[in-house]
Amino acid sequence: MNKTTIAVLSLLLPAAVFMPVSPAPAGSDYLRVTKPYADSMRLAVPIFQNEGAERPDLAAEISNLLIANLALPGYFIPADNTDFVREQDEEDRTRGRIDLGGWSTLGVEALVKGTYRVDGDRVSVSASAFSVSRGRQLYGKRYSGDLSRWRWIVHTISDEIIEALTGEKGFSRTRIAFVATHEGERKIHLMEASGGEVRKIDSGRGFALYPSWDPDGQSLAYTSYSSGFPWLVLDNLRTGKRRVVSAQPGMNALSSISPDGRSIALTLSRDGNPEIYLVRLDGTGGLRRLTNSPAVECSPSWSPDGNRIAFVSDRTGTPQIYVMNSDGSNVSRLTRRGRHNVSPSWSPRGDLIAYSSLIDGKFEICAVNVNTGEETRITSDPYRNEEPSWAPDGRHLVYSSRRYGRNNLMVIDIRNPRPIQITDGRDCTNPAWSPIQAR
Amino acid sequence: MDRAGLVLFVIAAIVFFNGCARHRPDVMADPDTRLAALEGYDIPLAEITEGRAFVEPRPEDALILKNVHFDFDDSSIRDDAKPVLEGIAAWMTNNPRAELMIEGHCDERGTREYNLALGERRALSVRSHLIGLGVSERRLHTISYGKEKPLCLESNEACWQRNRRAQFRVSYGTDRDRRAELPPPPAEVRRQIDREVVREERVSLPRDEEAPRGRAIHRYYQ
Repeated sequence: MNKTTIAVLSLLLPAAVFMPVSPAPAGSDYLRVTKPYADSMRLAVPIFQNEGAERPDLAAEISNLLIANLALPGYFIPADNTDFVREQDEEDRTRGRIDLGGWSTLGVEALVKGTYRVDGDRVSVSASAFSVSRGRQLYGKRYSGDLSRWRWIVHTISDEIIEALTGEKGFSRTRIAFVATHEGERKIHLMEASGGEVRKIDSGRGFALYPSWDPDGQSLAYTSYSSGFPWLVLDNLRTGKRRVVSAQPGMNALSSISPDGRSIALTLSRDGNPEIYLVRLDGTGGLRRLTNSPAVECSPSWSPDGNRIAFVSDRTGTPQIYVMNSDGSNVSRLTRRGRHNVSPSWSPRGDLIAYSSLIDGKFEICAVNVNTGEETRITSDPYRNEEPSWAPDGRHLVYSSRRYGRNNLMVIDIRNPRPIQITDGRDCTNPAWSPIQAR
Repeated sequence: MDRAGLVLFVIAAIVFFNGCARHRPDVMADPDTRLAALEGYDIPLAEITEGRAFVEPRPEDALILKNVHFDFDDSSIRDDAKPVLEGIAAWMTNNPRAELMIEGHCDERGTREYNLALGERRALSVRSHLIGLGVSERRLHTISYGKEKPLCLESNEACWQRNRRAQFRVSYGTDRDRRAELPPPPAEVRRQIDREVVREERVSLPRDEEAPRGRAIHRYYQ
């Protein structure tokens, strides 16, 4: 089963082997790469060349996936795949060298070229990335592995190119869990971060709502209505084992697994009112109640150091974001503005808590600085934006946005807020972004 | 089938399907605690579904088990709901084996997560009102669907009001004995469940052709 290990055959070789590089003309040597946040780089990705005879269809598939992955963080804007791009690529191949000057004339600032080859059930993919303005190759690698894992190879290459060109960590090797309607029922789905490979999780009959990831990236906690009651289930996506974590009377929902993976904070109504409780995932220690008020307390989210928990409480009459220590002590209110602040998500960098806020009669994504209490608005558009969840880089968010009467998921860079739509469905909500996954 | 019957069935299902599950002794007398004692087991959820006991009220009962409605962002029992709940309490007295599942629902305006909690609050406030009218709390169960099960989809006050509701399903308590007599599933079914390893299935999202498409990450190569 495990012949999927991907071997790196060569470092910084492929392009140097195929073709010499001629630099762009002097004068264009400004370094967008060193300050990647100033603006997005125009990126050209000529279609990958098939070096063998098998699977010619993969050329477009690989190129499209790579472009989707590179476009997602917003550091690059893919240049249109015009005749100019195709002609320049052909010219490079005819002349046997990459003419960065020619690419520069097309307005291209970053260039990714590559080849692939399929032999039976094996595939190898080579890719090189160039800073056109610096006239330099910054990345070159060849990966080979099991053909069934070709998407994973492209994800790996994508993240490495992003890091080589921008210095930022990519997140192509993550998945996003979300809720979508399938045959009339709300079900948990999974997809790649850039929107590919949408799959429904088999959770039995009935609704399955509110996914949250185990920090190991393998298991997903969610509320399953399969028994007729809303029980909290931990679903190991690798082994297919599902385990009931909490089957208390009333709701068992809106959970968050601690960063050490040992405990889960969740919302229960067993004592007559939605409150936040803590359960150890090994089943020992029983149930520990963390909040205690006549108001609604719900939606816990752990801090990355595992010491604190953000949550929603309407104890003042309107729902607001609060934080407390993970034993329930030291409760303090974080959000001050607005009448409806909900769905907190604590950034993996620890500094910000993203949430959804009712502003001028409409929900927008905001973030509050945990230390200073400063509230920043992130989205600003005519749509209803809800349920933020952080990418592992602590810089990007996925959230659900209601546009033209349909809910879809958007990804946004909080430093350069230009949302990118990643689903094309009707009712995609409640996204949960996974940690970087190992395979 | 009532809660206790469901628990017995579930436990039977667990023992049957998961002979290797972690030993968890001490199934206590209180039904809620017994239900909680299931926690930690690998439960074949698809099988438990068979134990779903709560059904839509019979037509003649639906006249009594009517929806009760709530104000926006509020879970307190309104005056217009009180006579309905008194009728339901009397019905419960006349149907001593019946149990009620009180479903809490919200309109589309709030956020999903907070609405789940609000829907639960609505169900709970109906429950405590019925307890106040003398119905045993053992016969009253709550479930919240937040805003995931609307009765109507328009964005106007009339529709929002219909959706801000508590709704009732009933366990008549008549199928308990029949359930207890059901033979265990045949061995083939069990083998099939054991074999169920590949659990992800590919689907495409439902599309709405009329609305404009806005994929920012477009297909680049055909």
